[in-house]
Amino acid sequence: MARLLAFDDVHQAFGDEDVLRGISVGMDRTDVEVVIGPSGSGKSTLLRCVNRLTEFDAGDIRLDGESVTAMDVDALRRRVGMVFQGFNLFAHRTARGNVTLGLTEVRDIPRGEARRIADENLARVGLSAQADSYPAELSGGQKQRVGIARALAMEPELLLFDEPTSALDPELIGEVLEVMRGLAEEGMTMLVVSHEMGFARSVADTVTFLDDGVVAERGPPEQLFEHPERDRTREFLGELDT
Amino acid sequence: MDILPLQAGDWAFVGTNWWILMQGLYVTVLLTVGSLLLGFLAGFPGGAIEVYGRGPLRSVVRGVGVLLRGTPIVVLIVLFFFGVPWPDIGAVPLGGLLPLPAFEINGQALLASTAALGLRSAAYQSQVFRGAIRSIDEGQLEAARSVGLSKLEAVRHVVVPQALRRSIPGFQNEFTIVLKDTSIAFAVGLAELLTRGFELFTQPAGQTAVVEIILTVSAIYFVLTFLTNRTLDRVENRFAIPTGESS
Amino acid sequence: MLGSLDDGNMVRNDTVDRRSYLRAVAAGGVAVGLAGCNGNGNGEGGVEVAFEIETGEQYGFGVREGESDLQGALDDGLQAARQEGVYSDLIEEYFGNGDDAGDVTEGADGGTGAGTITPGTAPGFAPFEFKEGGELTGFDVELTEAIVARTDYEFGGFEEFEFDSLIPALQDGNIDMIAAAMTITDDRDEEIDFSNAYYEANQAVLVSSSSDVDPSGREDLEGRVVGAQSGTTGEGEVDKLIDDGIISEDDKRTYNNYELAVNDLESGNVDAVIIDVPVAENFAER
Repeated sequence: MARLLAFDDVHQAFGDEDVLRGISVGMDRTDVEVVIGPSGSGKSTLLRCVNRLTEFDAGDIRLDGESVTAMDVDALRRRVGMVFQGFNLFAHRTARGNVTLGLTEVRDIPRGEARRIADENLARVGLSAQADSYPAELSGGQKQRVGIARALAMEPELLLFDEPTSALDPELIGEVLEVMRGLAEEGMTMLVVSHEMGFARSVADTVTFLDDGVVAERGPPEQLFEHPERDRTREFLGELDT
Repeated sequence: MDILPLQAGDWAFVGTNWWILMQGLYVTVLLTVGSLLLGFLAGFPGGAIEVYGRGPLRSVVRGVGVLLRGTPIVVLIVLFFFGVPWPDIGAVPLGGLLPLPAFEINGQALLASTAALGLRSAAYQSQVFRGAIRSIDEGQLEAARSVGLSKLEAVRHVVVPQALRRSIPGFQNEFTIVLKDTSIAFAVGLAELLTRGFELFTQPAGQTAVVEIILTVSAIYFVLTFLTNRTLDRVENRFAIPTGESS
Repeated sequence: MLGSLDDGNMVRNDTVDRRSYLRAVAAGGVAVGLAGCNGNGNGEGGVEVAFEIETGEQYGFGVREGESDLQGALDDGLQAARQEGVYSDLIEEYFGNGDDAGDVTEGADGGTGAGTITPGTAPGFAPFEFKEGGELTGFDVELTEAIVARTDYEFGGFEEFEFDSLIPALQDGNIDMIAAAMTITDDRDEEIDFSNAYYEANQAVLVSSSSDVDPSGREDLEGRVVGAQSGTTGEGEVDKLIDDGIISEDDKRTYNNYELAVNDLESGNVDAVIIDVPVAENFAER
């Protein structure tokens, strides 16, 4: 059986700058993979190549055995949800409205049913009371939870998280990580770019250290954090600790 | 000291001829509404194309916009009237709204003026919308795309509703400009409000009433502008996106 | 609010035309009017013609180039109207005692076999063409009706245009002739053809009756402030005064509309205004 997600020698350059230089990794259903690495190492680009917000130059990415470049891009994105660093909520729609848009327009679910599904997913992220609030009326942590509910409601096979807590005040990070931890326990397949080592350590099945456009080291968190094989990994983790 | 030596007889002259001004007002309102509508229908897509369009289509829209904005409106109206083979729809009957006597206007002149004022307005409205669209964070569009909306759907459901709200102040401006520029339509013989006022004080009986007539006409323009802007203010408040600051 | 009204107009309307229309200066006109009233506060004295300047300027009817049939028919019709006394009746009505000339088509024996004539004019130039009670009337208007009735053409009713649009409208076929106190000039003669002259317009120097300015010739205007409607023959005469060193450039005032010029004269802001004689007499009598 094909892996849910497989990178095969993926390359991507922006102008003269090679951002991804041959990435080949894979993950299965219910896996939680956390990608770490210094800024500029290509983590976000790697994520964006999966749902083709960035079109990669060479190599292949397969979703359940099928090359993403061969798929209809909208159909692909229906199957792969994404949560953004900057939330990117629709400012003119309530929390519920943010969730229903994809349901009514992409999944063609009737309005009433869409509301029900939206409320269900808002409850999942602990925001039942905020369904009628507009983004500007929510805290950062609440906004990101709406972002997660919006992605969840589409019933994706895979969820991408692009530094979901980097824009949050420290005291708001916990509530978002808590939701993500819950999703992992429910068996959601998640590819997470994050600087939250604690989260990676306790939730991830696999941690990938990306450095300068290549996978520098990859393994289960206990191995990668406790006994890194490469000097570069040690160095990076050391910088984080201090 | 009597600063404004306005005379009762001249006001009486304005009073007995009020219906002539009302006929002009009718044409002014017709031209303004028609032009703004055309300007919106052509200007909104125009603004969207300037932001999202590619290649030749965008170049054409931009080029036409620059041309329309750079040409004096009187030139446009004359060009549209004489340069476009309009269907001969003859005279268009108007009025009959009692007690306003019915009257006729030249149909071709109405078409040409509405087209000229409307397309020129479209060129300006497209810039208002372009700015409004640009002001909306790119990430929202990306988020909409990432749940599977096509680009067109994403623009329609996420960008357009927000851009429209942000366009209202610019649209108020545009309304005021189009309203006043309708007076240029007399170049092709359309007797709108200002022309009617002009007709009044260039007839021998009205020659001493210049100031009274111009004040009356100005007052009518002022009331129109004031009421419309107030209405648009209300629309803006009604559809304002909560900012969270008040709650 | 009014201020912003002006601004919009000024930005967009950069074309200002001859002879008539407030158009762009509508709001500006209010300013002129009010400024005038603020001046000497003397708006009652009335105006009078001080003297006339012979210019030999002639008005003709315009027709499309090469339409010699129509041109000839108008010339013949004009002659018939003169012979039958209708012409002098109209002169009396509009420039003389004001008696109504009556039905100007009465007694006309022209046919209608040669087609329909749609004349064009630019109202707002009393007594030649203006609106009264919403109806178009004036010397040119009635004379045109009288003349067409004396040709083989049928009168198709007037179309109204701005003065500057008349020649394009004629060339484009929207109208068949121009009857709008249009002076026959070489420039215009290159674009369209003219009938024989139907009116000679000399320029009148108009002054305020209550002022001590009472010139009897051009030299007497020395050092005075003189106004005219921009683009008209009257403005040309003001320029000649400047060329001849009688007045200085600073003392020239131009207006987008002759009404505003006369208003300013009555208020004492200018000493004299130069306009067509019949128009001047119209003001002097009111």
